[in-house]
Amino acid sequence: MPRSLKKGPYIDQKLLKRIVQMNRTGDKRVIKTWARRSTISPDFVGHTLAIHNGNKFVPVYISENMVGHKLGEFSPTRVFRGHGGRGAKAARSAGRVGAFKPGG
Amino acid sequence: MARGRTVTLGEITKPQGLKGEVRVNLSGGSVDVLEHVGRVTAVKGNASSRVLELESVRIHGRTVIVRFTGVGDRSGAEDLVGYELQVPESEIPDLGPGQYYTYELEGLEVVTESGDRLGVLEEVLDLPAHDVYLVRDERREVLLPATEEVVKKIDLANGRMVVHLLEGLLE
Repeated sequence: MPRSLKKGPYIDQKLLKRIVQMNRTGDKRVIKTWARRSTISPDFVGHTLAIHNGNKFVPVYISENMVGHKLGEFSPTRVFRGHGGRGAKAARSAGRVGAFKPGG
Repeated sequence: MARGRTVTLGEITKPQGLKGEVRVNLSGGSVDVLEHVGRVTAVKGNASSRVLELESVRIHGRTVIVRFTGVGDRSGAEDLVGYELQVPESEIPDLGPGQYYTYELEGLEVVTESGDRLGVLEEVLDLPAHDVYLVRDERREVLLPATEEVVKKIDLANGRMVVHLLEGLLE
């Protein structure tokens, strides 16, 4: 069942307070957060948050199209490296081909 | 960077059907590159290698299915299982400006704008928001977002990447 519209989105208040403060001062720094359940509000756009995945803090640059999603969606807790030893190892070696898109 | 290396595009995992097609695990690679090269060198360990011409490449669900010229039945396809598909780097199509293949970035030395060494780019993590670079040196491991705000310059010729460290990124 979805969250009641009457309540509005859940946003971690401590995090929101820090971001609003940074927006006011024009400051830009990476904020560490464990608030994976927090919804991304428009105030977050343009900031980089280090979102905990249970092991590490994953840096995530917040863009406009992430608004309304939860922070945890962008910091996966599991990494699938394929089945089997040799194939999985090969996937991590120099052979992988993919494109780097600056700006995310 | 010299384009004289060999790049592994993927591995043949199993035969598909009875007409000589095989399934290929592209190891995060791209079908476009496979279609572009047309001919690959199949290598199995250090023992054997053979040159294969691609006849067709198709995607079935999340699987890439390839047919090679001269392989027309299942037993021929079974013989190919376990081979890695390699191509010379010079045959891989160039990307547009500001775009790089993952293998080009892995191994770059990462330095800050002030010249401090952060380590070597060990792995490119494909995460939902954007790529994240795993940079490691002898003492620590750093995750850097692959965004224009952070990545300032990629110098493949000298094997260096210059990054802007946002405040709080190393904490």
